[in-house]
Amino acid sequence: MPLMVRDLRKRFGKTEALKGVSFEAFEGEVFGLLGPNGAGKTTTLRIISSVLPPDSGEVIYGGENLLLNTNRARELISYLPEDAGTYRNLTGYEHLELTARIYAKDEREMREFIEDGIRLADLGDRLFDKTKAYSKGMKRRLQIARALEVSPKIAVLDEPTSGVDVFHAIRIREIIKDFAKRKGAVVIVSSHNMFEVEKMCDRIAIILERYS
Amino acid sequence: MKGKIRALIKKDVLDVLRDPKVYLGFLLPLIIFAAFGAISQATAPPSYAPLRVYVEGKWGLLTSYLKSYGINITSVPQGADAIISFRNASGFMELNVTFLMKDVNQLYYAKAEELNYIMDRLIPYYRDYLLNRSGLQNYMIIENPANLSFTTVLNSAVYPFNPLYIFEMSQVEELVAPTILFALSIEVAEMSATLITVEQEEKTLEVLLSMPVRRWEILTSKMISALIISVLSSLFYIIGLFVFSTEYMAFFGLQGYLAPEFETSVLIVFILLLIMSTVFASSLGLLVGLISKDLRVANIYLGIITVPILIPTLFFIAGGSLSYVSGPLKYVLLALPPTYAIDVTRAFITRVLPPYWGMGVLVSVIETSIIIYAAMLTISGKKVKLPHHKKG
Ligand SMILES: Nc1ncnc2c1ncn2[C@@H]1O[C@H](COP(=O)(O)OP(=O)(O)O)[C@@H](O)[C@H]1O
Ligand SMILES: [Mg+2]
Repeated sequence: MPLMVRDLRKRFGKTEALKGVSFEAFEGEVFGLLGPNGAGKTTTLRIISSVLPPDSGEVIYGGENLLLNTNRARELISYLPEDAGTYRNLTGYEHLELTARIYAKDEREMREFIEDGIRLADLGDRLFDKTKAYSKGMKRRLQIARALEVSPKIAVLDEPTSGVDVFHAIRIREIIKDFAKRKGAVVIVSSHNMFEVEKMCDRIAIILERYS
Repeated sequence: MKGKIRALIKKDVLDVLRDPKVYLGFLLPLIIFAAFGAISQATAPPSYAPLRVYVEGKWGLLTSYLKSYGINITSVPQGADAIISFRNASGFMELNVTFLMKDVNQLYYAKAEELNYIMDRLIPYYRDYLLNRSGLQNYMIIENPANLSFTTVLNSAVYPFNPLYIFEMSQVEELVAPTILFALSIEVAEMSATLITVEQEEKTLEVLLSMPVRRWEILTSKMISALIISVLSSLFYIIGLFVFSTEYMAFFGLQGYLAPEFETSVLIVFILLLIMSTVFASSLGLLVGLISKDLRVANIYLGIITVPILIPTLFFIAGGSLSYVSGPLKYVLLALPPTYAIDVTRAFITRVLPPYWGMGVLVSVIETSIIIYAAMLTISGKKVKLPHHKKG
């Protein structure tokens, strides 16, 4: 099932952040949203993930407008915000467990989610350290694992490699590509980096700023 | 070098002063001073009411002495502030003054003070009277013609000492209990606000909002966390108060007479009102956390919410009593849950629940519900502040 985004519009006071964003993303592919800073990538992804209500527009999945059923949307979509943080005094493992507990139907599924998360995070023994001791790259790896461990139908990842060193970035891109293929999920990533999008995405849309 | 420092200072000062919210913080001392002034004015006891004294038996000298001080001598013991009894042992007078009080407050304090003042002067007066009478041989009687003892009846409790002793003790308790409750409330409000702002600061809120949990579930989990914190800190407060009372009474050598010989009903109501007051503070903290986009803003609002907690604190520290305060201040006090939690601590000494405790339960429940409802609206609407980068 594809995800169809139609004519999203959003203003913040005088700023018109989105002036009609439309695109379509398919299962099993990584769809890239490319654009300079301030183009409206984060706003678009927040609207898709039901964190922010739009002024108008639709997000259609399986014949349903997810914007009208945010509870359904939140079950289907796993969202990684742009600079998502971690709870300093919880361990990486506790983060994986928390997310698994929220998304899982039963205890067995929860165990599966956590096992998947441990594999995706690939942090070894450090997984049991408090996250305040993590590097930026480790935190981002944990976030990716948290977002993908629950096998979402739709994964929305805002600048998944931003602020991360090259080695972590390569690994993160591989994880995302592999996830889309293996699970047949809709994966939407944003980036302001053409090179990165080229490496990771099957199809892209570019949001350009229109000065008016 | 100097130019650089000046530029850096300018940056900091402008950055702070350009946020209109900081002026709320600046206004705070003004509000607190004004509130303290108004409260000090309002805590004075009502216009002077003359002491009403009942004298057991007939002793013309005593009644005319009392009348010379303008004291109202009643014919029945009912409604009297003090009962004076005496026994004449061939000229030597054994006097006992029983002071009857219903509450520990400024009004009774004024009466106890006056009674002490008058009774202190009775013995020299009696001695002069005896000296003026000729023919008296017993020098010892003239040197020490009477013995004065006090009994204080405070509701159901009878204490074999001067009422001023009770005021002395209660003044310390009146200072300590509100002060610590104030600190506790602020602490709890701050911890509750932090439960939310930490999600903003550490940028974890957005993940939470995107998960398949309802907004009310998020708020409920925060409230229960805040409640656990509130109840825990209240328990420590209660234990602390017990330790304090025991130590303090031991210092006076008066264990067994006053607290901690608590009435069970007083204790239960105290714990109830204390927890409700803390939960009220905590709900304010949660709301502050929700409407603040970072800790700086939260701190400004937290400063503001200290005011409603501070007003009852100051009122009781200044020795005010709900039973005779009047005017707008009375309504303000009755509208603030901490008022009741502090007021009831006095019941440890009076052993009678204050008249307003039921209202305290009602006020706390209603206000806390309204605040939580506001918090719910905030979290479910578009009001939650998300971080964003400016264009460019
Ligand atoms: N919560 C908000 N309040 C006000 N303005 C916002 C908010 N979020 C985004 N904006 C503005 O909307 C525009 C698009 O921002 P964003 O979606 O974050 O862009 P991108 O992610 O492409 O860098 C920017 O001008 C930004 O300042
Ligand atoms: Mg962005």
